[in-house]
Amino acid sequence: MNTAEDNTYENIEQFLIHSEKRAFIMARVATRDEEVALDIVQDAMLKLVSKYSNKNNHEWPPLFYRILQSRINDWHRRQKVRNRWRSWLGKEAENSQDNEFRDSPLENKSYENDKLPEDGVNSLEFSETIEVAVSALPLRQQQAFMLRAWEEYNTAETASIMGCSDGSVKTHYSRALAALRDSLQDYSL
Amino acid sequence: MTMKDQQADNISRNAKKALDQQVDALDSQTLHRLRKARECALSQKDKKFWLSKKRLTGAGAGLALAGVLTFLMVPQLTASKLSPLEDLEMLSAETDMDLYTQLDFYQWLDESLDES
Repeated sequence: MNTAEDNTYENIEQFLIHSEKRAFIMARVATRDEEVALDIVQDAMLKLVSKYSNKNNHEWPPLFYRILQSRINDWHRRQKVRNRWRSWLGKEAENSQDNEFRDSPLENKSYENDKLPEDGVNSLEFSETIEVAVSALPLRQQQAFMLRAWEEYNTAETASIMGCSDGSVKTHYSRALAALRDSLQDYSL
Repeated sequence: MTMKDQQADNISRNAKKALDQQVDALDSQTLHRLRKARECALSQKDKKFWLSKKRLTGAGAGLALAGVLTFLMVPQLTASKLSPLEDLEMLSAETDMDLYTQLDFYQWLDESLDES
């Protein structure tokens, strides 16, 4: 039941303070672009506050992540169209999304040839490596992995956020794990 | 638990830890921009609150105006309950106009006769 205290200004502010950084990392992993990630997070926060702030506060997290994932999907769709136009206009393949990744600062932390850092899996370098590895996953696998492994949503909640079936979530998640296992094999996890 | 499951569990756990570390490692500029974005979003809630307050005030004013108008119109409405045709009928009736002007008296008389 919705009570007056549930959706006060302070409550929604606290929720955003708690979620904004995680949302930013999610968006950064998905877009590989900090500016775009900030825009996406701001958009998601605006939408949550303007449309759903009157909802119960326990409904905010799934709603917020649904909005965020939807914004990320929109961005990817626009990128796809943009890239198609670019290729039609005869631009070189270097403008493709994969190569944008190669030019991104994150790519400099390539995980493939990394040596195991001195302090192993607890180092910041390793966490950057994980971020790059997750970034390299196909978008849906990435989303399933982030929501299941990081946000600890169950399969049904993840399916609701991603707007797909439980079965699809299970498939995406297990493929993501398999891909990460391959790409992080040097770390003997 | 199979070795594959164990590995999957390890990956999830390490990824969770790594991503948490990435959150903690965000630079001050990014944190500042996130705070600005949050404040911008929250200002929408304020705006919404004031808009709804304005809307409520507007609705209240509208209701008050409707009340005043109804109050002013009601006597006219009751007065005009009789159609012009009925007015004409009364005026043209052969009955003495006293009957209409002293209706209370006749009513009292009628009741007194009934009682007796």
